[in-house]
Amino acid sequence: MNHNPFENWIFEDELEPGEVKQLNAHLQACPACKALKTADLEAKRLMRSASISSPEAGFTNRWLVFAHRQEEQAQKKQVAILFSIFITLAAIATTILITASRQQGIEIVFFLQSSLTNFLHWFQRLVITLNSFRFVLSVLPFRVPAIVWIFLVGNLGFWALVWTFSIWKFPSIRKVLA
Amino acid sequence: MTPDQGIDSTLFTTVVEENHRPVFNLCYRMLGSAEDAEDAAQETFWKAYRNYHRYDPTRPLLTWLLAIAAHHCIDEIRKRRMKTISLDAFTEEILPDSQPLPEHQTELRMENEILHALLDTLQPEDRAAVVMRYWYGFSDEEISQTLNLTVPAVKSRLFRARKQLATVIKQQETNHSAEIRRQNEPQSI
Repeated sequence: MNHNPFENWIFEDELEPGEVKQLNAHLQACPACKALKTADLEAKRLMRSASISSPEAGFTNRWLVFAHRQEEQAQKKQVAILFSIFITLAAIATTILITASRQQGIEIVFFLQSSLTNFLHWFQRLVITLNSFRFVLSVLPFRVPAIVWIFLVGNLGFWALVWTFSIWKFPSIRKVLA
Repeated sequence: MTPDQGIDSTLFTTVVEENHRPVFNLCYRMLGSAEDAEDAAQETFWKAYRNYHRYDPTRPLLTWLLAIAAHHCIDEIRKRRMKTISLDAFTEEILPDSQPLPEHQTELRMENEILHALLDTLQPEDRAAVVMRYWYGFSDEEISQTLNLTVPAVKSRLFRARKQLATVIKQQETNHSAEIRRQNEPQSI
């Protein structure tokens, strides 16, 4: 016996009246689907009859203790992180002081200084480029004639269509792209 | 207490006191053990306490708490494969004394056990959706907001979960009937 679509309709909440009629007729004739419907009703009964469970008395007090412990742990972790950073920096500084000669010390300072200068220079160029780009975007739409825009957008749309159609039409291309 | 106010853990106890039962129940139905549910509920309130500034007061507080609890439980289930709890362990957890139970109470506990074994067959998100629908009466929209899913995704998950639960029950019934038939058959020599 064909159980489709009745096998799925058993679990649908929003059936048309006609569909409900058809489903009921099928359930009368099909023991397998009837058993599934009975099982669905049993699952619902089990869930609806199960009460809301409560924790043991004193949950709020236990939570307060838990929260206090968590706060303490968080504070300890924060202190440990700060302490580790401090120790690491102190160790690096001490190593440099002990191992490096005066000349090397000066070179390190120059290296740090030039790295910082390079970073600032690079950041400045990024900001200038972004500003220029924004300026071009704000000016360009008014300088270029409307007909050119129509031509460009139309052209772009046409090639996008060609591309989509070719992928849809030729499964081999789809496979390569996948 | 509003999210803009500085939150004191003592003040937050009112929130815990008023909402711990539904939060615990969700965790219990999701994780299947009272001990795990207690831990998960405590973690839920801790996360809520830490992130109280993110709470949107236009939404019900309980929905927000249940969302945190559901996501926490989903993560927990993913982290460790849930162990099936034996009836003995379950009885030990819930019942401190060893006095014999009245028959209907034993029956209820058996049903609870069956229910958890059934829920255990579902995927974590499906289980959360089922618990929210059948224990809290959440609509599809409410479940979608709580679990960060679309409404069609919630419908699909509930449909799949119901089908799964019914299939398992039907299978168990079939096995049970086959067992009875086998026992009643006259033994051939």
